[in-house]
Amino acid sequence: MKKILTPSVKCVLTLVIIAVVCVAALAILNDLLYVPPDFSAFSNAYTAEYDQVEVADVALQNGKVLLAVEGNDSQGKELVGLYIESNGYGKAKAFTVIIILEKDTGTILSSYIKEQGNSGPYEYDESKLAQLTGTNIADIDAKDPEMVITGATHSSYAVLNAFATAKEYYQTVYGE
Amino acid sequence: MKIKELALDGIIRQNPALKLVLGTCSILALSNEAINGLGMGAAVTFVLVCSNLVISILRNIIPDKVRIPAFILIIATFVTVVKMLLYYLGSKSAAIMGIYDAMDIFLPLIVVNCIILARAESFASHNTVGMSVLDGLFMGIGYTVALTLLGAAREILGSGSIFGVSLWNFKIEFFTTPAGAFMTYGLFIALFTFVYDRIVRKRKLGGAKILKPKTTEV
Repeated sequence: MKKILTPSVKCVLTLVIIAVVCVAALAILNDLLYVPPDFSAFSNAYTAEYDQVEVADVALQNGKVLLAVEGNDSQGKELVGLYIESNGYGKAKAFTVIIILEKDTGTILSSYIKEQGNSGPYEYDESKLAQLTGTNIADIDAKDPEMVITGATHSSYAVLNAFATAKEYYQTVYGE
Repeated sequence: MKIKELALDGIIRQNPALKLVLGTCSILALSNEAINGLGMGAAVTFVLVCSNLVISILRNIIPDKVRIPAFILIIATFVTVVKMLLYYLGSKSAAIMGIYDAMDIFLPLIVVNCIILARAESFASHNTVGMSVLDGLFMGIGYTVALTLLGAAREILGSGSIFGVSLWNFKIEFFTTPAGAFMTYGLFIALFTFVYDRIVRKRKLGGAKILKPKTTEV
């Protein structure tokens, strides 16, 4: 036994044991503190405490809900956060939008375009998007030509389709 | 008494940022805002305390020949823990996520921060658990205070605000640039050394008034 435990073997063994213990500790911690990659996007949009909830199985026409959260802000407002991938419009595809709604009323508290899709470098109008804050999601008409969000028609409708998805999802899951 | 000595060493006599000039990459990069300095300081303090604790416990078990790789493994584990914790807390608070984003690459680079490896090698591997933890804590406090003050100075001068609160419209944007970071850091070291040396000289003279050296006219 003593012959096997030469100083070199001892050194390697020590390092291996430390590495294994460290990896095991990190694995346990990762399990406890795991946050889905895009979960943080919700607190970037609106500061509150969020918990992930299961996305309801709802047939949606204009997009899909990738992630859903519920939470409370510092004033005690109950919130619903939706991370939506819009079906796009025409050439404009793969737009993802974060929308935070008040759970009781459906009022939009915050929204931002997370990924601008593949329609080209059209900058969306942040002031236009900010104007939607305070609007009830039920009042959003994705087909309204007055509701221009970006500098290009296809991109604009692609973003609005995400809002239409949020409206559909909210009314089905949280509506009366 | 020994604790007082450790505190004085960590915060003043061997201040990692202003006296030993260690870990300067992150100091220069993250001193653009006071809150970033505070965040980085807290992360480094956590890693310092935890790694000193574990290294001190294992000091008689780790063979001398592999002590540096073993230290790196332990430090890397705690840096990963900090990264996980910050990301977790950031998912609940936009302010913390802001700090996490600002730290960017400098957060994983804490692994190779000279302060942590230096304390592990020179202190934790030769001292008791309690003393090693205290050493890590005081060194971390010294680093945090220096980094936060540097960040506050740069934020006030460069952005006219402190901790994100606007003070006035006057700003010298040079101080937010990397060149401004070098200059402010240099001035801080000079000021710290000047004040420190004066205090030390005063103590050596037993509190007597410092006399200017006499000059003889030729």
